[in-house]
Amino acid sequence: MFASQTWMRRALLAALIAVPLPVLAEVAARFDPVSGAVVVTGLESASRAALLANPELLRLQVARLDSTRGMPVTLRDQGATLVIEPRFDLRPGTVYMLDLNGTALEIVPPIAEATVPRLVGFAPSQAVIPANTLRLYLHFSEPMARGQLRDAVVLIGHDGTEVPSPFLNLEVELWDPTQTRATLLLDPGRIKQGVGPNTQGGAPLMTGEAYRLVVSEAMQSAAGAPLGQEASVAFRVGDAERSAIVPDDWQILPPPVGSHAPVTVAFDRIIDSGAVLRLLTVEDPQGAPVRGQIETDGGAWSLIPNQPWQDGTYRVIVDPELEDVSGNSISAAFDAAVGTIGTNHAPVTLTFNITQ
Amino acid sequence: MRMTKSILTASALALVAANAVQAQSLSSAGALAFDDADTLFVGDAKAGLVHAFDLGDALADQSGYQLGRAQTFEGRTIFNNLDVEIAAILGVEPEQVVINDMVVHKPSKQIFLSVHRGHGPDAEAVIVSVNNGALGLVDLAAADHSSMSVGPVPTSATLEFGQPLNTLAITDIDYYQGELLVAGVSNEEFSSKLRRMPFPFTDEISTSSIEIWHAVHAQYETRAPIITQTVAELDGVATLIAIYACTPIVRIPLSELTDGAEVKGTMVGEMGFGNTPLDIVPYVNAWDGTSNVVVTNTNRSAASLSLAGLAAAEAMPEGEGVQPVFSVAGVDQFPLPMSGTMHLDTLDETYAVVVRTSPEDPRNIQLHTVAMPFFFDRADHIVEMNFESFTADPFGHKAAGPVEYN
Repeated sequence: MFASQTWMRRALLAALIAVPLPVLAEVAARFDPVSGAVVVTGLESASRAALLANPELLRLQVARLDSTRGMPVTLRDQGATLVIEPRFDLRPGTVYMLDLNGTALEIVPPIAEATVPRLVGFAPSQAVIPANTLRLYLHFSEPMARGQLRDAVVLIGHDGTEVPSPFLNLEVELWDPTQTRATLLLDPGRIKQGVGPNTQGGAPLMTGEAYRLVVSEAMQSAAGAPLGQEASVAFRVGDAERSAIVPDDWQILPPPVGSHAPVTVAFDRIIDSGAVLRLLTVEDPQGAPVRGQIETDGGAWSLIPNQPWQDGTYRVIVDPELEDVSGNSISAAFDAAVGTIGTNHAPVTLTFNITQ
Repeated sequence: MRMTKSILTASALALVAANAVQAQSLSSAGALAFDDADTLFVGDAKAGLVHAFDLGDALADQSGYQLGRAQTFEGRTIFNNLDVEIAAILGVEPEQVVINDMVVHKPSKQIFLSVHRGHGPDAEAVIVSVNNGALGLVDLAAADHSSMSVGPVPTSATLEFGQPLNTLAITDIDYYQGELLVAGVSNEEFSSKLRRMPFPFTDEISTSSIEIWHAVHAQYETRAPIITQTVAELDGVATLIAIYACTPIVRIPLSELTDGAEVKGTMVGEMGFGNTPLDIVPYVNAWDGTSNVVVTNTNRSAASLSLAGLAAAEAMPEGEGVQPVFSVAGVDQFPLPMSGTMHLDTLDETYAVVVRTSPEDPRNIQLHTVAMPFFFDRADHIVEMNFESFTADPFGHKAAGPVEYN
């Protein structure tokens, strides 16, 4: 909570201790949450004029930083007050120090109550996933802070011990723009066949075993609130999927004509549930894209159309970028025999008919 | 119902529709590069853009700023606690300062850093400059600006289902003779696309993405994102030298990277597993005149590779019966004493500059110069030559006396 009386006392005390400016005793600084500015009252007009003429006499920075630098600010004389507009928003709950030519005042913008984040989803969500799974998604209820995944997420094996270094050690973390979904890549060096880490360290996921992915209770939201309790996801590991996607192996369940019932594509494997939202599309008999609501868990994909289904032939267009959870695409398996990779850059089209 | 499959006759060319767009502010600031003149390129993964800012008059000559004393193997610490100094300017606690990349404007030797204020999706992105030992924010609003889309371009269809979730984390930008090469890692595809675009940006669809595969050591070939790359002339041929996520070093003549080409890079080395490359930076060894690249890594110290070695390196063996390799292999790699290096660029023919953790105190993030060609600072190391009681003076620093910096 923003204890206004406390900071007022602190400010008064600070003002009384060091008074190099010709000031009154009640110099005080207040954070204005509406404008984001710092408003200084109690300064005589001569002191305000001196600061306006010579802004270097003023320094605003996080308290107790060992630096002589300060934030860029714009100064304004407003009535009997000095208004300080910082270039960057002051952070809630951070203690700032305003130095007015030797007079130090403390400012603490009120801290907002941050919502406790939760782990709300995990993909692939199937109970059994391929041994060569490449990509995992963690969905959170709140935007999360970057820079924590390496420490906060661990993979626990069937014997209760941590799997060493299962994830690709990238300098950058892979988040969606809202930072509610994190992408974890299992180390491809340990998935690809014939690569040293795979033959030496073994695959991170072993067929037939059970695993738990554990997210630490300390993992924080962007607003600084920790999960508070450990979150974990359990899954079992099945056989590796090492073949290219063949859309002909999928099944399409066509809806009745005139209805808003979903069309469902049942996959023969677990498709990447993130990419499939944009890389699988349906065109109506006139070739126009069918708009609607998409749902998928990676095992199947369905589209509830905004407009009722017409009589005729619809097309399901599979973008060549689409991958299954093991990184296999239409073009090729993730790791392919020499000379077989990359022969198809074109989309693949499936059709389904809706008749009376 | 009967399912049928047909292959569309769409162009085999994988083009990312991209137009030069106008957006002045940075949504994020990651990989940095300069062209041969005054244009700073900033990778903006959040916006899916590469920005170009002509800094022109904002650049200041740094030739009067002493960078160290190379003859005694001494670099200069430009800043201790660089994160704290930037935090004071940005008005946040130091742990909220994220230094994403560093680049040097070679003609002026001015250093630029891409920095985020905070770790959240709303983190402000700024460019910080070092001007003769002073830190400051670069006023990008004053610079001529253009940008080019490199990320997944949202379409009306994808936007219908809400905010697109896919992003490209831009890991490297390189400028070479009027072109930009952009490397990145997608959060939804394990793609080995190379994005290549002319600069100045054009209004036409001009971002081509080229699939590059590489053989792994046994009988398989695969794709992976390129993490860092540079273009250098190998035996007079402009060649892309790229390092992939799982650390193979690959060599591809630039002329092969044409639109729609299916290119297989020649794997000439392996940096070793459990490690990701950070930067690949070309430099000339002034002692012997050789041209080289230095590669920095997340989990290993740096290595130097000579361009002659890269040009002459045999392709690593592949095919039936070849045993896998899991350590450093292939082209000769000369280890450099640069552990703790987070960012690296060269300042001139004598000095490089690094953002690093101090060898004495890992909490201290330094902006520090190191003398080339060994990227070695005498004072960093506990060796008897540095002890006062040791009379020998192989570095010459005792005879030369302490360095007086301006």
